[in-house]
Amino acid sequence: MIQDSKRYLPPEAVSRISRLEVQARGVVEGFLSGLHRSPYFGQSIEFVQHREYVMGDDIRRIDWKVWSKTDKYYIKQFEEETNLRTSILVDVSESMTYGSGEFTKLDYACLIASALSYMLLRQQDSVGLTTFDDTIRDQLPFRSKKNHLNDIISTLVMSEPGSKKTGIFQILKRTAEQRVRRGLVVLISDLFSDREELFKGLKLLRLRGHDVMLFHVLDPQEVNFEFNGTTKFEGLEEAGELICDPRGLRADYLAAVEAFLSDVRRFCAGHVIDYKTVITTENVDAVLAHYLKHRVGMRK
Amino acid sequence: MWLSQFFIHPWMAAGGLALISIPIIIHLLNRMRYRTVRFAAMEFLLQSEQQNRRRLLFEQLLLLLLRILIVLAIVALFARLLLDPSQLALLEKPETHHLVVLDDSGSMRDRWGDTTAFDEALETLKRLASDLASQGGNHSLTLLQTSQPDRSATSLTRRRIDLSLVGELEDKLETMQQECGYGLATWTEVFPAIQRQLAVDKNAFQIVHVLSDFRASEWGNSPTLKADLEALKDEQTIVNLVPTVPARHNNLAVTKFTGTLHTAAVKVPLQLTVDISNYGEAVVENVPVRVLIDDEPIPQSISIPQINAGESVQETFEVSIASAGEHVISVQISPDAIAADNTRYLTIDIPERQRILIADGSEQTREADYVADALAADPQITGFEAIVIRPDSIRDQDLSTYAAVYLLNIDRLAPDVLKSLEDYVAAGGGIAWFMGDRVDSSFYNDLASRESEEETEENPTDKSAEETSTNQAESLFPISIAASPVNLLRADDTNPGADLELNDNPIFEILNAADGLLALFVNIYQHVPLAEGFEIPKSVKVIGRLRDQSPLFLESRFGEGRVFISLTSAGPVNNTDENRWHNWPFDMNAPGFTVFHLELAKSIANRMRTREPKLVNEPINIVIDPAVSYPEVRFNPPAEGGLSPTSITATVPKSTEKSPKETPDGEAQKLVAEYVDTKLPGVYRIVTEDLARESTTTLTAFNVPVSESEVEITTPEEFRRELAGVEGIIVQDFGSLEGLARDDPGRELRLLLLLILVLLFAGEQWLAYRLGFHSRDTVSSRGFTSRMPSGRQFVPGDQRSSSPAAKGVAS
Repeated sequence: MIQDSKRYLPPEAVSRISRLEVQARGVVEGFLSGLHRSPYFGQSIEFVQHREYVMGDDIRRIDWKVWSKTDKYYIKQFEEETNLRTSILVDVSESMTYGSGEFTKLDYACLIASALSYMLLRQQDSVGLTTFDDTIRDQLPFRSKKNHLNDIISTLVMSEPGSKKTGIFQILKRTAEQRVRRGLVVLISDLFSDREELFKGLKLLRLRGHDVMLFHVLDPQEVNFEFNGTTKFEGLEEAGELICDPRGLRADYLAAVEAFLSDVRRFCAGHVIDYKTVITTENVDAVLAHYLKHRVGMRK
Repeated sequence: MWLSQFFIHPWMAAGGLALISIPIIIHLLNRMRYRTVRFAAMEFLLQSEQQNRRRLLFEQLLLLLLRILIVLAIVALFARLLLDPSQLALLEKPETHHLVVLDDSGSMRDRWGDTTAFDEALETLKRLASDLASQGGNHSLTLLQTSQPDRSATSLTRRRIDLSLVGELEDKLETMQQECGYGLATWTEVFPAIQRQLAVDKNAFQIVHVLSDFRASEWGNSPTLKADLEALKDEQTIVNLVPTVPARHNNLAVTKFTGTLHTAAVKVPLQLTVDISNYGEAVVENVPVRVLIDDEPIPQSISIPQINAGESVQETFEVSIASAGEHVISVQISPDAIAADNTRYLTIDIPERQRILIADGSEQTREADYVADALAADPQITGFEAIVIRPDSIRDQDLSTYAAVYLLNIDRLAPDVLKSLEDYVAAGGGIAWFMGDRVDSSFYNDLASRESEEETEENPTDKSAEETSTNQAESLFPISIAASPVNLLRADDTNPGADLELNDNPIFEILNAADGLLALFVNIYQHVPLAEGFEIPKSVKVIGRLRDQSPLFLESRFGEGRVFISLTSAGPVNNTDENRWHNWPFDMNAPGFTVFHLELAKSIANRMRTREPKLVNEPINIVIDPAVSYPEVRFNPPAEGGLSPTSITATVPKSTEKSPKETPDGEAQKLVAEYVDTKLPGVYRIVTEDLARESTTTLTAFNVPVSESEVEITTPEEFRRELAGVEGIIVQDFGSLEGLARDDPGRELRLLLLLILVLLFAGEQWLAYRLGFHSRDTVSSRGFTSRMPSGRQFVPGDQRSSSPAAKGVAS
């Protein structure tokens, strides 16, 4: 199905794909070249121990320095070469289509997902992608090939936001069940769903031993609420509508938002979930920096 | 138009009211015109809306109300709102009571051009009321007229000054123009009356407006003026003196009009005296004086050649009245500033003859004959009719019909005769005692002893006191005489010299004429001296002495009447030359006997029968004997005044009501009819009817007070000089009414409206700010900041601990 969709990609989609890829590359390359030392190089060739050569072993791994000293064949044993398996979950529900500025929250979520995928694939980690609203819309299996990025980006671009609500618990539960091997789960969403279900799903992931990163994508207007004049607010995801002078409601709105963010932040801190609020006007650098910081923390 | 009560530009206000719809329409349009936003975080928005629904609705409505009020305030400002604070209890100022004291005395009739001082005063009052009414405010008015200081007009007592009162005043003052009095303004009674009015409400701010001509005779020369005015004003009261006469006008006035009315008789020349005073500042020449008897001018023309400014000229003339009965004599001069004082009236009930009773104690009544001849030789000329009787016959006479009684050479009088004589004199009659050879000194001395002893204890040697004494005697014959007559000793028989030393008395006018030349020829041979050691009481005045200084002629007052005493005889007593008491009336060289007796009769004649003219505003009291007349009395005021006749029923006077026992038994209670409406000068006709329905008309003349003719005024400058340093007294110039705006409440509320407008704007802005959003920060394209309700910067939680990597990225 994915192949079919790739085959018949419309020109606008191709343009968006290439733009997203360029953006992702630009972000990651620019980001990595600014680092003095990458903590990820040589991760998979680190020496663990020597073992006596047995038939069938790759002779390229015989440690000739040991043979010269002992006249025996030993081979070097390294850490496992298989890279991290990262599941990226992207919320494509209707609420993610809101954007007051250049990007919608979905655009921004796609950019984050692309950039992370590129960086992961570049270091041979395998990346799987899932887009969802109240159900899973698209899913890509784990792959570590570099051309897997194309699939990921195509999937992201082609994901059509529906008018459905976010059913986050079911998605997280299903992810936990499908991803038997422990790995990293990156959730990119505005979290406008049932709060209890969200917490329940996240808790389930953690119980299965997954590392969880949560990128909470918000629009500046959702955080600052700088509307002016009489406005009719039509809720996305069938959340009702309201005609009001938003200036009078701003204070209590901001208080409610802050209470929500505090709740989520408190929950994440309590369950060792790495949480990051991202505003769509922010530079994606910050997201990658946050990811790398998290990865270092994981290794240690 | 209803709005015109409140706005100077009511059309603008009417149009402006429509502007109220503007904020309402804008409000509604704002509700209808909205933009639609599809929004994700509805959960929080709905939550906030739930919490703020009521507050928002209230604040929205409040904002709408403020905006409507702003529009209204602007409209009121441009349409110039006028508010009557009296209708708004909050804005109501304390009452200002205007006590207008209106001088309606005779001098206010001062006329110049088409107006009078009184008209000016009324005009000023009208102007004051209309000014105050147009200003609005809490003003009340009380009108006090000086003619009736204790009776303020009931319709104008503490009346609120508004437009209806001004309209009422227009009508009322028109009729009041006729009501200026002719009487005096007795400021000594007016000032306490003002005080009483002021005391009614001490808390109110009060202004006493005195509308007067401020004549110098009353104000300029008043020693108590300053104190009186200062007593009126205090912290709550100011005094406003408003002159109603611009300058002094020339005024001639008839200030006195008298005559020998008590001895008038038909066709006998009646001597009248008129005083004309010039109260102007210029000499007046050739003043014609018209005399009218019963409104008919006499043919005689009288003209006063010159009257200097501030002086009076007296003119005497004689008139003859052809018929008996009631007559009116008036004297007129040409009209001038004050018309009322150009005429004065006299009324007289003239008899055919003035009857003189002569009682002679001698056998032949020869002395009486001499006296009768002297008084009434030709009654056509003298006007006297002499009736000679014996002393005992006095009791048969109705003495009240006699002008005077002569008692000649009477030894003694019966007690009842004496009593009737005493009653007669006490009621105003006059008697003349003449001594003679039959006089019984014990009788006379008994009479003299009735004179109180106190009188004799006084210093009798004080000649000046003796001369000027006007004390009432208590006896008809208040002096003690010696038992027998004595001869006047003569130093030189060939040249006897003057026997008489006579005072300057009208009786002796003929004898004193030509420096007493005629008196030289009168010789007194005998007289009855005073009892030895007798001191003349103060009630007796010696008017003629002999050359040895012993008193010869004396006079005294008894009750209302007069008593003349001659210590020598009236006539010759005896025909023999040796026993004559004096050389009157035989000696051709001793003239004046006739004139002396005529003057004496005039001097002592009963004056009570003449009616002295009264001054305006004095009441007329008519005493009615119910046994003789009906109690109804009809009073006809002067025809020219326009007043209608009034009938008054005589009643028991109040003073005797309380003590009816004083009325002698068997005598009918006298009734009194009192008529007080005598404010017009002129002649009042009083008609009474006896029980036979025979009506009798008596006339009473009323004249204006002389002092009201003095037109010299106190100028505002003189007032200001006099009142220099006294606060709270405003002296206006003629025609001005300034300095009273102290209580101007600022009816046009421009300042207040501006203040309200500023407050409304401030309130609207504050509320709009509170409801609205005023961003202080800008949202950057990179990263975000947000102002939280508490004012703190919003920092996403995961950035609170900054990592080195994050720092690197941020840079």
